[in-house]
Amino acid sequence: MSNPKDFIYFSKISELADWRPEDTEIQASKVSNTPLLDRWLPPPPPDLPRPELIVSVRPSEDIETQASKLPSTQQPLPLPLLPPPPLPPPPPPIHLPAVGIPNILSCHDYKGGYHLDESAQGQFPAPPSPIYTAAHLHLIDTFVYFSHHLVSIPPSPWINTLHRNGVRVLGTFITEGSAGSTALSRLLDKGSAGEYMFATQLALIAETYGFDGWLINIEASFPRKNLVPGELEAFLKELRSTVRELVPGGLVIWYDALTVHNQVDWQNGLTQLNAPFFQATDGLFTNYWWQKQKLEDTRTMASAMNRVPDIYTGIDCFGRGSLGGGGFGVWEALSLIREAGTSVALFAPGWTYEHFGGKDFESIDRKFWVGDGSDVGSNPVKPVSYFVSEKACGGPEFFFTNFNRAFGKGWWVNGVVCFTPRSRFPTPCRTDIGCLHNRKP
Amino acid sequence: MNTSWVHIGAQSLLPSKYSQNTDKLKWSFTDEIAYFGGTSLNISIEGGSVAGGVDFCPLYSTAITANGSSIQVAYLLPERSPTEILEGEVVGVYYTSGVAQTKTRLPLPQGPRGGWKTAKFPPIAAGPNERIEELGIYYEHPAIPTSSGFKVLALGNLHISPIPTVPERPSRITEVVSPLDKGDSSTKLSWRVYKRDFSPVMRKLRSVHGCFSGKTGDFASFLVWRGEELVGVSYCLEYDVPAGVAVGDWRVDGVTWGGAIVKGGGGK
Repeated sequence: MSNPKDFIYFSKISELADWRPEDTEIQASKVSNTPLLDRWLPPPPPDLPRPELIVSVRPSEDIETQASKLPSTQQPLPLPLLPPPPLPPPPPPIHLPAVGIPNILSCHDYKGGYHLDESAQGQFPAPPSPIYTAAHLHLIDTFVYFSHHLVSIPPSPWINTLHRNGVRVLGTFITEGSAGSTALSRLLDKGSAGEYMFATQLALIAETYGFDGWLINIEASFPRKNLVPGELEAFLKELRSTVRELVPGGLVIWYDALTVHNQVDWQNGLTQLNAPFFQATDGLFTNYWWQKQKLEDTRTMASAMNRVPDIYTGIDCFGRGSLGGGGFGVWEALSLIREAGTSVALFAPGWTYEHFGGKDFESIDRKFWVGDGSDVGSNPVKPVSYFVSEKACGGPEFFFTNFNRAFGKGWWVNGVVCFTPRSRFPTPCRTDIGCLHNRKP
Repeated sequence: MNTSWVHIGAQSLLPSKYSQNTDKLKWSFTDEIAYFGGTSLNISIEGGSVAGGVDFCPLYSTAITANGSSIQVAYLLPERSPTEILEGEVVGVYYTSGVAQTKTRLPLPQGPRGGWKTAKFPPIAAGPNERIEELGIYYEHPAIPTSSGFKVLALGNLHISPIPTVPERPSRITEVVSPLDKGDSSTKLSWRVYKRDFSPVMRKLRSVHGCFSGKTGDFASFLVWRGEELVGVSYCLEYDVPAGVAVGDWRVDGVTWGGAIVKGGGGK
């Protein structure tokens, strides 16, 4: 059981409202100290124009039919009738040569989140049980710390390790059920300068604790009186611009749940019902119940917006309706995603630990991410690495590793063991341990 | 798994290249010995009849500027009986760079086995746009007749940069103070760090992403000591001493982003 003081998360919107940056004066260990390492990127291809496509929602006959069946309290909000966008040029054929999936987002939904082994000071000593760690960070671009609290702030040890490896870290804002609707009743509140107060709060939290933005997952409807058309998009745009202002390279990603009709209706891709939210943010994390045609439709629409890599096509590593059934079957979904050219969001890759109770974690995790050492070409079950663009380790001017894996039987300093499992403080080893700079101040 | 400590924030850059089943030279983690922290990397040669030649064990894909970069390694040559030492064997670091992707080999100094050594190679001379793209270990050996494999090398750390990343005059760490009895029988330790060296080299070093922190300056982490006993690791300028741990003679050492240890002040 985690001690609440080990972590920072909010369950109520009032807690988010009351948070102040000064709180960190008594929470220094909860703040990341490690800047995001700049990964070297190969020179980009010639710049393509990125038109600002206006996506309007013109309720189709089908949508109108569905909507007319709803009780009056759930009727779609009146939508602005914008001029229809110009017809986009036909997209290139979907069967492109197999290049790597551009970006991987890893959504860390691990046993509900906030475990003692993730606490700011770690565990010295630790209980003798297997530990879940994310070992294959050279494949990951963005890591989302996910839990079912309203606001999940990533624990500082995760931020430090991920930043050291050049991986962006996002917190999660999620609303679910009736409690979620209560939170949403205040989400669009404005401050004295007309700013969205909670957009400012969320951006300040990311800056203060040292992470890189937010996954926004609205899985509840706004109380009708609290939402006017276009206002959620305005909130998201303001959140994105404030995050970018405070956190260089920061991101806001929208999860595919709420539609412009103020209904939780997972689209499993990009449609006109969630496109305005995608347009207001840096990316769309789609739900997992897509099939090939839906993915092709998503690609067509994202291509018209010139934003195919900003689509993070979701795969649930536990299956639950995901193409290929999750687990070692994720290759089936990855294969189609690679053809489509979108990015991918792997939800709960801790499957490699949880599904097997931690048994043989290292070899199972390796098989899932990079293969088991057998010839990947002839093996029909392919690892994640087969489909993605591997990133260079370290930065363009600096590389350092001590090969640490976040846990151990002992702690060595310059080759001398200083902490072992035999007892808490077993081994006097200080003084002239070989400090490279043993100078007087 | 028999762990004695866990700290998610202590994870370093782990190898991105994985051995294939057909490779003769393979890497694996070991928690039986380390240079710093809890893990080092074992490089082993497969058993069986291995023909003489050079075997390579790729470890990382990188994109480090080659020109001017120095490679530093902490390594250990495992003890073997004299009869098991192969005549003419050489173990070292290799890297590939440039259009030709040739492998440049840097042999590690031999010498007594069984203890940690450090080696620093001279800066690489290369074209301005050349990058080190692959980094690993090689093992040059005569025919190996043994049926069982053996360890060739343990790697403790690996450090590459065109900038000297061990500060000439590192920041000063103040004495540790523990003024707060938090009312729950626990104690909070705190300290400060002060930059001292503002030379062009240090300015350049501090401008490299990953080599300086707005929170902890020239240090990536701190080792927290009670007398001569290591208590834990901190990634900020304070440490909450768990309830029940006796009051002690506290001190911290700083660990730079390049892995060097800087002795800190004692407590008061």
